[in-house]
Amino acid sequence: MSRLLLILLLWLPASAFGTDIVVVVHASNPLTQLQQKQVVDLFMGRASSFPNGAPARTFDWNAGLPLRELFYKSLTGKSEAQVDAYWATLVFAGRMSPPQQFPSDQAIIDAVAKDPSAIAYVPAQPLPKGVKVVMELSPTP
Amino acid sequence: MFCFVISPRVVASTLLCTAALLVSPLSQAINEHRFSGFATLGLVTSSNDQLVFRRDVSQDDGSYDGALEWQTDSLVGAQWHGRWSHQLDATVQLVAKERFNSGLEEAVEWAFIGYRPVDGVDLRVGRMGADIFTLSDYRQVGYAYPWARPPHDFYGLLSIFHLDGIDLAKQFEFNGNTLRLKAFYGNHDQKFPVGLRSEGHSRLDFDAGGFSLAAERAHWKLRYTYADIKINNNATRSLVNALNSVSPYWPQATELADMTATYERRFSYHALGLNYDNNDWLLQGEFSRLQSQVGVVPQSDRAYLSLGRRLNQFTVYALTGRSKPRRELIHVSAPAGLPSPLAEQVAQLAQITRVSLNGVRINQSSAGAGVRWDFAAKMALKLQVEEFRIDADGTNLWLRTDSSQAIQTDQRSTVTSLTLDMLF
Repeated sequence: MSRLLLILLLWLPASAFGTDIVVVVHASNPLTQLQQKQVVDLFMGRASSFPNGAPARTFDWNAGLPLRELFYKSLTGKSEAQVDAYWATLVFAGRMSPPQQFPSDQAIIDAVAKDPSAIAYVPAQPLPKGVKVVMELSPTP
Repeated sequence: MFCFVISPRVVASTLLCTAALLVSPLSQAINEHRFSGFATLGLVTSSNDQLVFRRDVSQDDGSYDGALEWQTDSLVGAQWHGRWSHQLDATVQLVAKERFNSGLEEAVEWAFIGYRPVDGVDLRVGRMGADIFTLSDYRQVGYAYPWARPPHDFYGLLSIFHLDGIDLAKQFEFNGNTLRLKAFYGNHDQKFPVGLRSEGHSRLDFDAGGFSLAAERAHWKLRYTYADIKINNNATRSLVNALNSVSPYWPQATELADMTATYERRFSYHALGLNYDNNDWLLQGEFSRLQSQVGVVPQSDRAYLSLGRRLNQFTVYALTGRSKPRRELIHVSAPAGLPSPLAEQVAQLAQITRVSLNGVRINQSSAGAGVRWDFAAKMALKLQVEEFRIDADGTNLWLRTDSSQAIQTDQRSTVTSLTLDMLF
């Protein structure tokens, strides 16, 4: 019985304990690592450039996708509704352009690979050459 | 009232500027166009049968005697944002809602060009939000705040939504705080209704200039704004002239004419805002002092405070507010012993002057509670109940159902609101 349980536990995918999320940028970006606060500032519209001064464009996932909720919750402690309400204050004040939204891993990775100023987040996975990881997030379930 | 009439001075100038930007050579060309929007479908009912509840003083209709109104809070806004480089962008926002003077010119809330020479510095030219109070830049975006509408005691008087002008903001980090400094200057011209569903209006054309300081640290936000406003038009010309013409027989008339005049008179706002949000609890309050040389814009203090608690998809909150004049009622007494018909004319003039100077007072308080339910992505449903107490000499945020009758006694009203807020 205990053996069966062990097998079951080993078999359970990592996602059952929370998906690891990686923050990615274009491969040509000179940055090697970003601090959590720097990522928060970019995704919460407080900064529009990377710490080295180069302009940044944030790419986001479509509203309502589980990864989006998970990312903001573990990064900022805020629910998706709070994040959207906060962004509404910036966007409709005309202070910031809302991050462009994408429906899937593939679409978002392709977009980052094409744009030297891009920053986005995706589930941890083998990534193509055009993009690189600058931060890892391990959400606690 | 939900209609547009084409008279778009602002739109035309913005489009011209935009066209000029499009043809200029740009490095790092982006050429991005984004459309987004917000909407509120709101129902409100107010129990008082002598006073009409309205969202703010730009509206000439609302709810009274328990009637259910949908136009008071319902609105829809659409925004276009264009970007041609990391430095240059433009925004146009149109809002359709119930307002007294509803043409395309009024529907254009924002239409400005933004220039960001370096990250943290923003220069904007065109029509943009009059960023004087915490909610100024997004007071029509219901999804962005917890309540059914911006707190009435505080925001009901403020009908300045935008300025045609310029602003410059600088944002920087200091000791772990995010600081934002902003200076602004612009013009605003607006007609205000004078009664329930009235044709009559008063118009104010003014220049506003000022600065704001905002600091953000962890869960806290603090802001202070000073705004100085100069009125450019003689909104009360006929009354001032009439008072001056009878001054030989009525000594107080000269003083009253001076109090009533608006041309080149000034008023100013000091505004303090505080916000705390640790994701479970949220606290927000504002205080504003209005100082004025203008009799028809009375000296007053206003404040509100709200405390909320998030419980998963729900936010429950309490809300209280107060608006209070800092000027005594002005006693207008016509002299006795004048011959007829002068006596009757002066008596009538005294009555009009009394109403003009004292009818603008706002003296009310409220307490209420509500719940917000974030039931789906970018959609929130809110239910809010408030109890208002309105002083007999301070009803100006409300319209009288019978404008021929003065309000003799202090009033109360229970205002119940149900709103559905959306982003798209």
